[in-house]
Amino acid sequence: MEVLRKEHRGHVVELREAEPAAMSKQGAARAVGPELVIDGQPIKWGRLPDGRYFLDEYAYDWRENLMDLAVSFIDYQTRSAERRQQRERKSR
Amino acid sequence: MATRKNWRSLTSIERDRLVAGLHHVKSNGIVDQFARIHSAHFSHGIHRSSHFLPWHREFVLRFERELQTHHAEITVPYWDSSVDQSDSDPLWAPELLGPFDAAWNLRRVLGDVTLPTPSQVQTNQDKTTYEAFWPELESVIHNPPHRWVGGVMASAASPGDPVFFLHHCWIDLLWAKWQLTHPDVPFVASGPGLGVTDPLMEWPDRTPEDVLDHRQLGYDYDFEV
Repeated sequence: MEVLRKEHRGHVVELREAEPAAMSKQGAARAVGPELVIDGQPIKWGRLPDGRYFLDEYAYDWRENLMDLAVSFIDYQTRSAERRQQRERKSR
Repeated sequence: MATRKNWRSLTSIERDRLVAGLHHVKSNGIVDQFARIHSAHFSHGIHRSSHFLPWHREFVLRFERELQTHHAEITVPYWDSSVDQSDSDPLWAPELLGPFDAAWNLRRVLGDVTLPTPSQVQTNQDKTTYEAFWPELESVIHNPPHRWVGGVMASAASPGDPVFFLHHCWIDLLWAKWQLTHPDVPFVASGPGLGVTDPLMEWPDRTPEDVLDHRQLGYDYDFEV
């Protein structure tokens, strides 16, 4: 199984080329392509009619490259966590 | 004819009715059902296609009818995110959408990315063809508010956050406004199965042709009154 790996802000992104048998086992796979894993957790993704990728949990940032999208998702999660912390500090 | 208006124009009675209606449709499973429908069809042409606007017009209308089972006079208000851009706006206050965040576990961020500007909205309104209008409306004006709110609203199951419907009501208003100023511009399919008489995902008996005239669906907007 081929794995494309990248580290970003302390997180590990992997694109794992799924075995055909594994793909059919998943059943629910919405598009044929690699498994996206961030820090060991599988991340669901799909493709729009023009072929761009989106993530189920981050569905309004559309990219032609799944690795770029994973990096953008990590940046979004980082910003979100920072902003929530700011709000919590403000509300104390 | 029911009139949809800006959330800022709601009377306190209308606001309280809306909030109670939202709790009603959450408690009977409708909100989660709508979120599942949207998520299931996300990659099937409800986004990034010529069906984006008609599909969401039908979707918001169906949700509004569910709210009306709680009170017949409820209409979905709109959130103009090119104007109301602060996380301290009363939209997010305890009297309106604020408490849903914790109660429905929405994990809102309120502030990620930049919201669309009035100038971007006007540039989009000036587009002279449908195939130039909808893609820009979707990517430049529709997408950022989903990400600005964040959490559930940034996911494919975004109708799980009630602000989804206020946001899409505004997107629908922008389409209605554009249609009124471009009355003879035809609907152009972005691909096979995405034409004006092709069925909408989830509702095979409904097509874009059925929803082109919003007033025939029984509602108008405050700017028309």
